[in-house]
Amino acid sequence: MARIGIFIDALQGSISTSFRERIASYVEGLPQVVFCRVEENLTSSEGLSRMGKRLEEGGVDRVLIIGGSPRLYETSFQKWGHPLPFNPYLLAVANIREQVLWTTADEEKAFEKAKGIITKALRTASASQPIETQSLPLKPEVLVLGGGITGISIAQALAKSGVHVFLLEKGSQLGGRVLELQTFYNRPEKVRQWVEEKVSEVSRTSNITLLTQAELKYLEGHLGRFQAKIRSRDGREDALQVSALVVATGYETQRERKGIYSHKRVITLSEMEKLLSQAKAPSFQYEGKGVGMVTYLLDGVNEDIKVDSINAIKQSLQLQESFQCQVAILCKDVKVSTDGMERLYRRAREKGVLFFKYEEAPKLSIVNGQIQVDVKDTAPIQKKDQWPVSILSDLLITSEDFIPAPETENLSRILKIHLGSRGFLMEDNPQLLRVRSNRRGIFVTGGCRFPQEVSESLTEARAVAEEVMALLSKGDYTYDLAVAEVDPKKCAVCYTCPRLCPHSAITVEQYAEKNIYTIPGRENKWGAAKVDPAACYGCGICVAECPAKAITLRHVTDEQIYAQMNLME
Amino acid sequence: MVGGGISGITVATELALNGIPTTLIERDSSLGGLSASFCCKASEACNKCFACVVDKRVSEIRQQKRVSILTQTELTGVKGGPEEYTVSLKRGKERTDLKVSAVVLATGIDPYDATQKAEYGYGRFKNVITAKDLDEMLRFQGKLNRPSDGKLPKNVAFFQCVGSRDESIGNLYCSQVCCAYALRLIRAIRHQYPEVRATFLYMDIQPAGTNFQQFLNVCRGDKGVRLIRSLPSKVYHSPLSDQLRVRFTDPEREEVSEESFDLIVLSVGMTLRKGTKSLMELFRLDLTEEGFVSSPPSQTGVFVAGACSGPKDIDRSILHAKSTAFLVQQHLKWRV
Amino acid sequence: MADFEPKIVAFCCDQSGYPAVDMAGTLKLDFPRNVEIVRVPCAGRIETIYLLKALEKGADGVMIFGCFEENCQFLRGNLRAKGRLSYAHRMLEKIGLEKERLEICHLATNSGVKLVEALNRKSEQLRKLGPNPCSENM
Repeated sequence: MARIGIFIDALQGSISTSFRERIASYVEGLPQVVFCRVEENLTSSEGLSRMGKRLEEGGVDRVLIIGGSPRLYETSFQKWGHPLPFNPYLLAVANIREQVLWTTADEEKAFEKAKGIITKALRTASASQPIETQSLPLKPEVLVLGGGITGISIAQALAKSGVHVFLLEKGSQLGGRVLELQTFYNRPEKVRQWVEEKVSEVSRTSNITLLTQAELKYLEGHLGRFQAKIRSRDGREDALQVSALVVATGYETQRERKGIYSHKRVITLSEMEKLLSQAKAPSFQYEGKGVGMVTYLLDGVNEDIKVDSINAIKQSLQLQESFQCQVAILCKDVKVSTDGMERLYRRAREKGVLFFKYEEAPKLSIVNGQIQVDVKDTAPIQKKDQWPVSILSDLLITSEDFIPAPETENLSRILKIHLGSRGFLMEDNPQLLRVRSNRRGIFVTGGCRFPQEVSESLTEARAVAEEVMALLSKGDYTYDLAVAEVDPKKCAVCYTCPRLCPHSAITVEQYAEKNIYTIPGRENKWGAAKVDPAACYGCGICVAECPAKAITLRHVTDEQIYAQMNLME
Repeated sequence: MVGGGISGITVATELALNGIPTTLIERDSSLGGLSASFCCKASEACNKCFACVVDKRVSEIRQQKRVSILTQTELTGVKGGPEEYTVSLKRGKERTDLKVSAVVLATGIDPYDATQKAEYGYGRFKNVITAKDLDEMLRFQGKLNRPSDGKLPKNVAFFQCVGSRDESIGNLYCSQVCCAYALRLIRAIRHQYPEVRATFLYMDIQPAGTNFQQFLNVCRGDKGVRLIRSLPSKVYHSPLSDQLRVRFTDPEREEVSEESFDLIVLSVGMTLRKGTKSLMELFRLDLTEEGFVSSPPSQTGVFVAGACSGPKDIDRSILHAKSTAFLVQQHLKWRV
Repeated sequence: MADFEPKIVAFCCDQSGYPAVDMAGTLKLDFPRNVEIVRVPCAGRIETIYLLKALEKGADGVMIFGCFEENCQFLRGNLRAKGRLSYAHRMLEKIGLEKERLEICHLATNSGVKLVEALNRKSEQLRKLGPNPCSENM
């Protein structure tokens, strides 16, 4: 029979003295209760150390706190350390402040309700079982997938902090998509030089092992013990053991080529970047002829990606200022929600760039070798003033569709991380705080998550480096075994749980035990599902789905749930 | 760590996880800053407003072992640097000095003071409120009502770009969050009260997050919402009928029209928090072109995190705070 | 029948439901009287049988408070709970018990007001439906 010690937390006056005394006299008479003490504030370190001292005197093996929300005490225990001389899971909390006193005006009703909650909590306390802590060593070794600007920045940042980084790039060069740009909108440096400096720094950093023309083929294991198989283009295979992974594989663009879009005077923003860098002021030449009128057609495909607007406005300024071209930008909305863009937009307008905001897609046609763009400008106030505008352009620049890189789907299968609704990695869930993935130890960042501007990718790279450091800096990962556990004797290997687990923490492994499903003659060939305790988040989805009820969550068992329902006797 | 809003909390949590002891000071009596007063803007599904994330992070920071939290505390002076600073803290009448290796400022932003836009009548007309007022109404009362008579408004207008993208007041920047938050508020209100009609008066719709196109399509497809590209110039109030009249161009009627609204919500932009300028003088920090705190070079040991360095939503503030925490670590030469 | 206080079992997930309960307390909102709060780490932990057992053992109504779609800390738990609730609804239909006795309500960490409103609404609804005829105690 459990011997329970009770502490009533006065919570600095939240629970009145008279109420406290009524509760105290009620509980002192209950079976299993060894003592009942009143404390002023169990969420403070002094209160907790007093509690610890009383418990050290012995005589009890379970503790019940009657006070506020259990979340308060869990927080204080985490911060000040568990006051219990024995396992922290042998504790229950009766929340009579938030659930009773603050929501029930009548004191009699409050007392009745409080008694009910205390009875429930006593049952939970006596049924509670100890749960141990384990720790897993984490070596400071990380695999970064993708040698674009995000991958390079993360590798540099981590290497400087003492982590050994394996940087994997499928192509032969580092740099990625940022090299399509010639200039930045918010930095004076030229892109190529800036990237080259970063790349040479990578090759000079001893902590970074660069693997080019190589791809990830296979990944096994969990946090701290990932085993990756890398295959190079020449067929060589390498095996790597790392503690964590960062995915920064970037995105792809797709260009519309139907009909007029295949005309030589219809080009993409990145093609224009290149032309601008090669052009010599003051004349902009295209195919041997001078260019006077340039039209940008934005928001044709993606309305919510800002990168195109930034590059278009940046280029248009250069065309108007240095090359005396006339530029018209057609868009649905001018996207200025990036630092410094509003000023750039205004400067572009001052320099003569014309902006047209359309609702219906503009019509494109070829007239005498030039592109005619017919657009209905929705900016004028009166609809009768909204004449269709015809722009005869020497060049039409369109935006491209942003799509996930082709290997993304395969990568999500290999890494067992989720795809979002547009095919990019990771669904849009605020709880994942942007750079995390559904698996502990795997981080997803940069363009492969969503196409974004370079400054944003650099911020993300530092944020990822921070997350990785937070994981690795202690040298180990300590966790409670308050996680799901499969009883191998009951597992029928139906594969429901590995498919369900949102954190991909369950795999089917070979065990050396027998169970009722073992086929005679094949005793040494069967396996059972195994939950990796360091990768498990303790959500309990597998526990609820297992058809054989072979999985348990030690601190949220069926009995504990039924006890909380307070219906079964 | 100066500032206990979402950015300050994130920096302090990250540093603590890395084993760097941090003292977090907050001027108010509770943590969470501006975003702690935001309501959940979900309709049938989550609309990614991140308000719930703030609540979670506020409760999580109290679990961190190496963070000591001092509320109702202000920073009054600083000496030394760049390797070590001695900061003077003030709490009521108490004065203390603290020696630290780095200082991070995350003092946040204030919503633009809408009384400055006298033509909209905020502060004079009861039924003209800011988005912050609306957030607090929905969070703490759970109900939408007109301040003047407590009744449910039949139609609501949202004015965008109040205090942003406005040369006349010198705010030549986009506050980046207002289009998204106003549309989310509209979705949340329409979900709770399908009979309320909303009109969204804007200049350009700014995207936010990764699935904004889908979200915008849903807003466009909602028959009870009008998205009109026209910013109104003035709000007229007729005291006899307690009505608010607004003049704007209506694409349906193809002309300038005047309509009455039961409730007007001003989507206010971001400005630097009061009191930040004096802190900036203490640390010899400059303003950016847009009027926010400019990050000094990292060798100085002073860092800036969150929206006080430029408009950011909660998502990007958390990201920026993590990025700043990494820079702090690098400065302190923290290693695995 | 007039002073029948319906017994509601409210499953609250640790990420949204339970903090909302605490917030409702902080705002000093009025809870209906006969509510038992069951705390689970995620709504995905709730098995169909718990819902049915609750009704069998005397609850007049069961509510699940979980996160919104695409806001679950564990990514898919809330959707699982929704699926199991639908399954339980189909069972109730077969035995002729009102489907309104089981409901899922989505909310977030800061939805204290919404939680109390949902509980009060459910309590009113159950008062009209009457006590659970399938309860063992009847």
